[in-house]
Amino acid sequence: MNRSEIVEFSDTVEIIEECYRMGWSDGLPVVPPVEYKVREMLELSGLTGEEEIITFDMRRRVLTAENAAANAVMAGCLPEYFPVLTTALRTLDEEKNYVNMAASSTSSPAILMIVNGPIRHTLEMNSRDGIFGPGNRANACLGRAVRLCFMNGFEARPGILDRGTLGNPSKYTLTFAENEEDSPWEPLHVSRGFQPGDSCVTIAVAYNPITVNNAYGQTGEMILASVADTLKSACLAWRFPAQWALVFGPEHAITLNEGGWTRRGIQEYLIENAARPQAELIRLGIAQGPERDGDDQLLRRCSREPDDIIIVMGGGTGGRNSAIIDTTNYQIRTRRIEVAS
Amino acid sequence: MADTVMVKNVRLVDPSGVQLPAGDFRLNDRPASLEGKTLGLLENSKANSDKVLNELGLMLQEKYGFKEVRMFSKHSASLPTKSETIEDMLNGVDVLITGVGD
Repeated sequence: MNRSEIVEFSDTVEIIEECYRMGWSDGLPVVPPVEYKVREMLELSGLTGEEEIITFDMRRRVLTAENAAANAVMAGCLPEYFPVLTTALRTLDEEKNYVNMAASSTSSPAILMIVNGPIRHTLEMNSRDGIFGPGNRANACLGRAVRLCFMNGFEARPGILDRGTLGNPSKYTLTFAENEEDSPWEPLHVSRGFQPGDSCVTIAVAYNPITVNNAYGQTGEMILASVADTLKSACLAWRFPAQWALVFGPEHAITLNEGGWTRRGIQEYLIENAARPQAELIRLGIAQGPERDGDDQLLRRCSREPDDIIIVMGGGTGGRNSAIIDTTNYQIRTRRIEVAS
Repeated sequence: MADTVMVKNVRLVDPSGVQLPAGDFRLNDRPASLEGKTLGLLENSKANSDKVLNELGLMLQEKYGFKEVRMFSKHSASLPTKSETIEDMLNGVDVLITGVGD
């Protein structure tokens, strides 16, 4: 379809229905992947469409740049978003366990993307009120595009390849930007070795954010104690030691900063305090038994290394909330987003 | 452009991934009898999968008269079996059952 062609509105609605009939949807209506839109997406990134972006060995499938662009159009992405999506998919391709886990695991993980650097502004991404959504186009559509690539590209559909027991609302999208401007700490990507002027995406296999609503803690330690207590709960401790993404809301970040809590200090506090004896995990049925001598003293800690816990600041003012995101045992990765000039 | 689909005179780009060729595989003929054969069981490294398959192997051995039951393991439940393990199975057993489950 060329821009100059006249298409009746009713036809457009019918084409959306046809996309449903072809099984190309995540349940929500998709933008029909018309050729010129796919071409625009590719051209802005300097891609021909033939480039292989990600492969899925279990299905013997390759997703080309053109396939990815079609899914990006369907998700509602603008062409300017595409470099974030291709960087994310190529990063996922580095670790086959990422792909298998996010496509098919019974535990139903989503894919987390945190965007840093100038591209946050170019794409008008949300890092403030309602950071996890809904309401922002780039946040919503970029995360949706990744999942559509899995569903359409690799047949990761419920009950077929995706054997998630319960599914996961974050599979629709779990993408946001960091509020670098108001954060007391250096931006996430800088803490992971990139320059402040770099645009980066941080990728992890992840579950739903769990809100820690700490309204009355007057000190940084009280806030961190509630975060550690949440981490030690049965729903999270079964994975110890693992990787975590913490999103501190602005009010908690201010309190933590006033108390002198650095990123490293927070990480070390949590490794020290978010720990539970192996025996308790076995008794809860979240670790495999039988209990052995010494299991009462054997502490399972939330993470092995401080950098296994990533920390960002985001969300709106006017509430004292932060969130813990379980990011599994697979390595969180940060990559620079290259934008074609 | 790759595959496209015409809908209402509008050409849509197919979002499906590209299928890679499956390689040159051939199934062996099924043995006429299992008596005296070696059975291989491939466990996927999930908790207790070895116990379940060990028990199953004993039952199958008793029922069908296998000479031997050999157990093989995947290094990861969510990744394909290593090629050296596939080679071992190919050379070491007459019949193989993949015990993939959760």
